[in-house]
Amino acid sequence: MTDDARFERLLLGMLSEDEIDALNDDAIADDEVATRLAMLEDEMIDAYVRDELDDASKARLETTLLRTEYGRERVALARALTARADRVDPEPRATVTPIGERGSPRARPGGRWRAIAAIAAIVLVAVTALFVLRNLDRDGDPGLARGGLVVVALAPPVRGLPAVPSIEIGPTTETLRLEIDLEGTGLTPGDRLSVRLDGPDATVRHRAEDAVPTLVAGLPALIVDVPAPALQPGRHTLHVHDGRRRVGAFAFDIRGLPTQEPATRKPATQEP
Amino acid sequence: MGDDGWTMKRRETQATTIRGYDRLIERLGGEFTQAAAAFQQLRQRLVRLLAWRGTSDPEALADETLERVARQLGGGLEIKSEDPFRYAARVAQLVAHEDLRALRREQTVHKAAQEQPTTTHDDDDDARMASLESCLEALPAADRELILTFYRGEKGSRIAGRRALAARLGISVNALRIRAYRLRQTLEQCIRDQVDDRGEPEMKSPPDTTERMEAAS
Repeated sequence: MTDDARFERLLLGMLSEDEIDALNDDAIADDEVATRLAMLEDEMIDAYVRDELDDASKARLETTLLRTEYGRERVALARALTARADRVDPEPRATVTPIGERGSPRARPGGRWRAIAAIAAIVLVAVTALFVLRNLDRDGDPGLARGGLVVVALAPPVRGLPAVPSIEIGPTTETLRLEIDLEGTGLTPGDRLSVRLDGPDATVRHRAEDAVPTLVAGLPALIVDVPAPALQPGRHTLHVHDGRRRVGAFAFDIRGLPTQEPATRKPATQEP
Repeated sequence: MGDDGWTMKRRETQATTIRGYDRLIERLGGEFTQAAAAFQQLRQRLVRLLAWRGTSDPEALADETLERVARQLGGGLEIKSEDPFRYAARVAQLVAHEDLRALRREQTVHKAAQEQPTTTHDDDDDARMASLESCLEALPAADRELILTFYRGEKGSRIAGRRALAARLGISVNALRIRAYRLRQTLEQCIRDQVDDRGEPEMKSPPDTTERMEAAS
């Protein structure tokens, strides 16, 4: 019997008196055993609160640990904690907000704001880099400043703020970089995602399979580069899927018109 | 024994117990505030041990255990073990055996189990949630985010969320579990302290100096 199985049987009152004594001795002599037992107790109580235990285990727990005031108090605390944790919506929904149009940090959990701050820092670096590179280009360093990059961070909506950002595409813009905040979605850098960008005329303007989340300042994000010629003025929606479910749909409006002629545009390799 | 004799005996016992608590505090950390935190931790570990044994009231029995340990220390006992918990845990084993024997004698375990409600009152729930909120606020923002993310969601999304959180923090899922467990302990202790402050007269920390002086006088 594994340690965890033995611990579980202890909590469910399924061990003999001798086995209980032996396990208690282990828990007294070895802090690690005591910690693991305590963690398993937490997990079992959480599973009870979330109705994730099978009927037999549930009934047993009610006649052992939960028979006591201590057990009932722990259940009440677990219930409060899970209710409080679930109050934060982990699923990003249909809209996005651009950097610079977001509200006070108090409106959102701290972690997400760290992500936004990190993305904002990246935008600042990108803009500064573009400025420097353009100056270099003027000074005769060819190739470094080709093309304009507009970076926009997209995140789940914030109450009271504009739901759909408006993005200006200038004549020199070649690529629109969308940085999707994936915090709270459960996605990690090992996951594979597909993205589809629908344009204002309901046609698919861009598509990418096997997109891989990355970490931006330690937080999960998805970076999608959309060639500017793939965009049109009006509402666009970026749909993100992980193969099993929709991760989110992020809307944004495009203002301004790409001025390049179709023949001179850089081909959008992933465009359908 | 007359009233005076009984009172004197009672005072002696109290003084011995208080002396014992002093010695326990000394063993736990010396400084009173540091020792008080260690005392709470010790008590909570005893509560858990007693709960795992299936005793009738782990909290009350943990207090009983500590009082016995304090009396023994006050009477001159030397704890040889480096960790006072180990000695206290042995005493708790005895206390647990006594409690379980009493339970068996009464033969009411099953009946009591069936009669015990497993839910608490709404008022308590509201107070508990309010305490939880204030205790969460007292945590550093990163810890608050960690514990809420760790416990968020139904089974599938919760597991995925934990994996993502561990990846984000650059630690293993197991290390994350331990971190969440420690935070939860802190949080639960904070909530218990707030409940105590609202007036439940339970002996959950060493008696303060005033009490000690009063009892010894």
